[in-house]
Amino acid sequence: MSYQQPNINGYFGEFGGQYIPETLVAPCQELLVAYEDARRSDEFQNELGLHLRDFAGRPTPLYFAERLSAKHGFRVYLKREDLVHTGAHKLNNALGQVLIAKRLGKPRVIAETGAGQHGVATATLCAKFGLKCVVYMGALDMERQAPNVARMKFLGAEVRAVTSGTKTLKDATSEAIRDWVTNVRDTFYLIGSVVGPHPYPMMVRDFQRVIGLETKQMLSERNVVVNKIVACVGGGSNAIGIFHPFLDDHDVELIGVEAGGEGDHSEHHAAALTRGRPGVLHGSRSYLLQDDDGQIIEAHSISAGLDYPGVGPEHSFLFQSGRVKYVRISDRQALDAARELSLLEGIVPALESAHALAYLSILSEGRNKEGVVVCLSGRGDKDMAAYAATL
Amino acid sequence: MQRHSNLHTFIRDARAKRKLLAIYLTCGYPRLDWTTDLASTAFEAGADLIELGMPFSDPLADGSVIQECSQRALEQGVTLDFLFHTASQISKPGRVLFMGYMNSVLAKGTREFVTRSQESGMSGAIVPDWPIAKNAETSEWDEAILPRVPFVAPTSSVERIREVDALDAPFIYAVSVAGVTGMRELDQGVLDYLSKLKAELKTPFLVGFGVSDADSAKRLASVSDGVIVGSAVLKGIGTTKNFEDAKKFVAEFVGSLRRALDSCK
Ligand SMILES: Cc1ncc(COP(=O)(O)O)c(C=O)c1O
Repeated sequence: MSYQQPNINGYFGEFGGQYIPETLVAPCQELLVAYEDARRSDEFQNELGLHLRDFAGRPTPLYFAERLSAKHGFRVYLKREDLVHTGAHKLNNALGQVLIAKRLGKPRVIAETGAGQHGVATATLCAKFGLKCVVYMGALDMERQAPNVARMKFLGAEVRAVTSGTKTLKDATSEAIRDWVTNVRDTFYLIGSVVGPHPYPMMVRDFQRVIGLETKQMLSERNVVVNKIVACVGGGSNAIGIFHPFLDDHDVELIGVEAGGEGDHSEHHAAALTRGRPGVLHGSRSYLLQDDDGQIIEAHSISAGLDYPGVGPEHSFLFQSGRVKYVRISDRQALDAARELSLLEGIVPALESAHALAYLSILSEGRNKEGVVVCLSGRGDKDMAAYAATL
Repeated sequence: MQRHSNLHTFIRDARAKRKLLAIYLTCGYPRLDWTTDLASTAFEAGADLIELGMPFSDPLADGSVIQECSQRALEQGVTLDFLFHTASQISKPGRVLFMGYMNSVLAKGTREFVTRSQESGMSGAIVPDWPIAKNAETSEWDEAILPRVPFVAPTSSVERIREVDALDAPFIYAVSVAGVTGMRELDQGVLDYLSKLKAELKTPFLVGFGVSDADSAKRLASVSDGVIVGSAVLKGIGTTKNFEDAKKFVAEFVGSLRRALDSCK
């Protein structure tokens, strides 16, 4: 079986597909055609490459973290997505999709956001390309990620507070889908992770693969061998982006870190893969947090970007096939790891990325000696309030 | 094969005589034990079909009225087992349908869901986030026992509309506008779109999304085989003070819709 592409109906194994209202069937088909067309177009690829370089600031460094390595007893490299313009990997995907929106001639772009990073990336690109931008954000997330709300507004986006349900990313996503169904003729839905109906999980992954492709090239240029790659998993876009080019390299272990929330003794977590089961939410079949009746259970994580009860369908497939190992890191462990990186390397990571960093301590306890790449998916400015509270 | 389902039979016979009226009720809203009586009242007042709605935590095809009803019903403790029980209380052959989201179907497993629905007297299922497509669940679903009602929308292509028409479904659910469930102003564009659909479709079709009162029901039914009314009924129920009031509202409102449809032909 190939790890590379979903089947014609958008399934990775038994996960993915299109579970959407009839109104969205035609727009998803239109998007698929436009994306396939763009993917093969030199003009599109050149334009994307140019903006990735000059606007986003790619390639991002693969940084050897010397003091962090000394502390843990093995070589640690950080893929510096925190240095992408706007401070997280989210811009890689938003850029690709905005260019597709332009090809489709859609003047209005909508997005959902949790931590606000995807919302900021979308607002930024809509400003750059002159598109109208509406971002849906859970009212709870607007509180805990207030700096990003201000950034989006300053960039000219309209931020709509979502007060239904759990007031977090899940409800913001539902509300964005409702807007899309209603305004489908002039509106492009710019999804922020590898979730949603086909072709989104495939398309978003392809736009994030640049993380893994650069990592692979930089490792080989420097003759560095690593045997582990670690990334945090919310919807799973930064993780699939760095993992995907390595899926066929079987001597590289791939580790996805889910948000363990308050810990394994608690029901307050966001570990859709390791503590959930398959179901359908937001247009695709994947692992979910749900009760026996199929009602979605609220996720809990200190990190707004990981606070989602689902996960991208390709991760469900990689989980089931065993190619990627998925683990959990608690709120507490993530906070400690954020402090550690700040003190040892002078880099304040996003709370999401801190979950991946925290796995280094688990590895050193296990006496790991192999080189490790961690995807540092974003920077921590937005999380300063949570960090300051620990001082 | 599925032509012989009791839903097919009911629709075929009723359609020969009148415009069809389907009433959507969120199971367990506003109180667990009200749904059975409200459904019977709606039948007595002239409803042809009851769509019994399973509330879902994340109803992405629904507008604010049904979102709120769903949340309220879940707080009351509605489960699938309760819905099946309610269905068995109101059951009339060919006249009660399940309406709910895909994850509720999957929670029981597709096969068990079909069996349980049939045992509780339901004659069909409407699942808005399960469009016709090739997927694993489609092959596990027994259409002969529980036909699925497919959708067409204003964005559906001509080929897609033909594909849906060829399914031989008991009826098609035609979404009047691109959007979510809820009441809205009816404009001429909607009527034009439905007239075109009527010329295209051989399968009977009922119009849903946006029927707010007797007048809009009548206008929409004039270019279709009937209407589906949900949010307007639920909103009205929500404004009543007690069970007797709620029953009275349903009797009067459904009665007014019935009379409007009967004046149509
Ligand atoms: C910095 C950062 N990392 C990770 C994530 C999680 O998303 P994903 O799993 O799609 O990479 C987010 C989401 O907001 C984020 O802002």
